[in-house]
Amino acid sequence: MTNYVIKRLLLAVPVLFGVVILVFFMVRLTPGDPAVIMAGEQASEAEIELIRVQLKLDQPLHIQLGLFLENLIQGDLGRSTRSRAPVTSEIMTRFPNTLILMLTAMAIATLVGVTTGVISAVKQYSFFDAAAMFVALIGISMPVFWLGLLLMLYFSVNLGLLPAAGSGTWKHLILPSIALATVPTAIISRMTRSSVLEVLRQDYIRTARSKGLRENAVIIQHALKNAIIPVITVVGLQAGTLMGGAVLTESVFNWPGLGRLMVDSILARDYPVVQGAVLLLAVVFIFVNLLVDILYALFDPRIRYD
Amino acid sequence: MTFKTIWRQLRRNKLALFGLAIVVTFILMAIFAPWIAPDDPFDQNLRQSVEAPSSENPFGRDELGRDILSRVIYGSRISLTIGLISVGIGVAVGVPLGAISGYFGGIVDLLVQRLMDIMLAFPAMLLAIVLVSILGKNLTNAMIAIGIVSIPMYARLVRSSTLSIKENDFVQASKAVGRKDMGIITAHILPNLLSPIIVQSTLQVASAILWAAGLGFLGLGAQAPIPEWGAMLASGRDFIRHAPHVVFFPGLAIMITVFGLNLLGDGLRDALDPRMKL
Repeated sequence: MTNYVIKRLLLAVPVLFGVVILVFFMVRLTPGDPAVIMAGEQASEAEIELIRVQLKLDQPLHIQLGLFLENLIQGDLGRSTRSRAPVTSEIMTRFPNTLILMLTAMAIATLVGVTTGVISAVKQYSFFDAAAMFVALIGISMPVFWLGLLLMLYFSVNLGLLPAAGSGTWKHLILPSIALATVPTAIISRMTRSSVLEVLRQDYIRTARSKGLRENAVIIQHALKNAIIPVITVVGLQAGTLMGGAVLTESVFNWPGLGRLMVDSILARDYPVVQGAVLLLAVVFIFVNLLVDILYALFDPRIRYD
Repeated sequence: MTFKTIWRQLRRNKLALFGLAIVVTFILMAIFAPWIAPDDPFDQNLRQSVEAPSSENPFGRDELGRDILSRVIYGSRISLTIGLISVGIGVAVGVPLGAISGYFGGIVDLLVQRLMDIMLAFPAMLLAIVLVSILGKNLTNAMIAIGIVSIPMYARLVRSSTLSIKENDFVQASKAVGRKDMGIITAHILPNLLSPIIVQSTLQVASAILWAAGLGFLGLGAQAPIPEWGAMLASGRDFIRHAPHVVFFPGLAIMITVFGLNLLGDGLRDALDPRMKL
């Protein structure tokens, strides 16, 4: 197991490095002069020159990369061209908000998704099964920002039950996390259903039943324990869906998270902040994937010997 | 597998047929938009701003007094184009990459796979946003960005299938009689990959439409006055309190289209590749 973890950690290093390089080139690949783009259309020649010097855009590319890496290791991602604040503090004040939103959505999705999936599988071809899977397919097809707007319309504008936008209280968290949880819930419930169905066909389930175990014990102790492995992977894979969805959800509900900061910064051409936000999200995503792989190996010893 | 057998399988699946009907309607709507749209999608009429749905304008009018039904109909053209072009990019680049990577193995495989790893290190929507911020925000770049995002998905799929197909006797026999590698790939490997590629592409068009609408909504995709469904939602959201129809219909159009594509994709997967049945 230790060997496996070390191997996976080592494999993540080149990917991490690749991501850093890509983020470095983000600004430099933009068509046109990045200094002019960042300074804005009305900027004077002196202002453009200042940005060029500040970002070391006047240096050769390999020196720029060296400096970028050196600063990165020291946790220095430069300063926002809008607020002049250090990028690290800008993204770190926003990151917890995104994390809360994502974790709440993930908790809802796992709880609802796994429960629905198990019931659907146990009662295969029942009305519940058909209805749940139909709703799940609609959930997958639903644009998260549209669902967000509809929830806002119904629960905030029409019923006046919950705040339409903003943050601060737990009430603000409800609508955005439901909107964000929809797609992962649908995917997890479909995966759980097919995984449980697969396991229910196995001989050891027949054995468990024939030795007179109650159906609940068969499902929970024997079926679910084995069916959960592919479900863990799918839950982990939803981290990506959640991040993409979070950008949109934050924008709908004016949630002060990293995704909205990133989009606002792209629109304002505040590239240092965009780079910081992208880098942080990608690193988190890589580590979540790593964690899923390791958990997977922990639950299923067969993986380790591949 | 011939077209006839696929159709025979698909015909038995009522949900997939329903999906097919939605997709065909969507395509016909896109092709015949100028003939079926009741109004010019760009024609502004500020005095009728955010007018509620009526018999004259079944979907109502938007903030600039444009007929929403006509804009939704024209929007299908945009979404269809987005789907086809971005999936086209994904297939055109991802399939050869995956085939070469899987067939030759070695250093080529290693390099291609690490590159794909880096692309997959970003959640899809995030990578699309990053690419648009590099390329510049407009509809064409959104399509290119989404196309690039789908490359690793095809490369992975094709690589793993190529690995198993190349071990088959017919491939080894072809090698033994001296056929060139590229000939083997095009004559033996790729035709056997058609089914998974078709399934993946149907589902990928659905994702592409969703991502493009997301980019449009964030202001990073189609720009005004293009009647793209996501961008329509974004410009209408400020009027949601008094005129919810402005955001309701474009969103509904996205959902129904994506739903149809997902149903069809699921049905095709069951018909073409029963092992992958969910």
